[in-house]
Amino acid sequence: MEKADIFARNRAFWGRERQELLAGKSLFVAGMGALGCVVAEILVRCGIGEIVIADRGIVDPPDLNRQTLYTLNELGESKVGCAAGRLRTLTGQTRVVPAKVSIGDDDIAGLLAGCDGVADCLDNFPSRFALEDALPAGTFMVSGGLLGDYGQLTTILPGRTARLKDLFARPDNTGRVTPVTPPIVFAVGSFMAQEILDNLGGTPQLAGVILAIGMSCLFTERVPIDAS
Amino acid sequence: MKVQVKSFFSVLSGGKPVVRTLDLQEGTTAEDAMKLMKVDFSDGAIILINGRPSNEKSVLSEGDFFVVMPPVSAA
Repeated sequence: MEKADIFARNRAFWGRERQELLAGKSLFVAGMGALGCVVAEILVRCGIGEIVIADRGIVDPPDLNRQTLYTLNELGESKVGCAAGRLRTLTGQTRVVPAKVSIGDDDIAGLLAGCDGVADCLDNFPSRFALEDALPAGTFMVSGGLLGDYGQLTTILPGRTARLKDLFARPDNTGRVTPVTPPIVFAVGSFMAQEILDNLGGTPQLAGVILAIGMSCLFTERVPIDAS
Repeated sequence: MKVQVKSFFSVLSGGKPVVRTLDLQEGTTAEDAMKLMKVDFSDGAIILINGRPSNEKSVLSEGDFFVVMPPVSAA
């Protein structure tokens, strides 16, 4: 199938120039759990040129309520291997690079080099802070989180916005089983994907702003952060 | 002194963010205000005072706008 056919509806909305811009971009997705799966799938369907997906985990039964790239057929298999296989079948237009790494333990500088941006979809604070420390200059990071049916996201621009490390006072979710419902996963993942598109286009909406989303009351709210 | 507090912790039990104006003594910290708002700080928080990232030991001042949000990660 022609590439032009696959992205016809995208191009009809945002035009040929933006479609071509996306084809030349690369994204690093840290963590291929709930948010990583949604973000990666949306960016591939948007037509991004390359996506590097990083996770060290395997597919477990409790993942299947929200981690959309995995099925019963992949239980016990490597997440990045399964996700790469699925992502490559969606459009055939994105180079998918699986990386079975532990962020915070393994050196990811080589994987980050050449990426235009990072999606922070990690489930623990030490790894998120290590990822932030490893961000190359000029790279953006869209960072998201979930709890129950509530979520938050923001854009980190090194040297220009507050750091994650400064934002979170004494965070500790180590070893906890986090309650999460499917609707908030899709909501936050979709907002993250849109914010990544906007960063790639040079117009982030959430640099210095936290977007809070609550599903029970269907509320969204922007909370400004003063980094001065 | 009067301090306005907005807590997003209420959304974890299905509500909307709660805003209250507290009448506090001089020297009150963010942690003291969170206790008054019944915010469970055991897993940490995002603490913004007049938009600035702060921590639980930060001392509040007259007219401050104090926002506290849950510390969430992906899952």
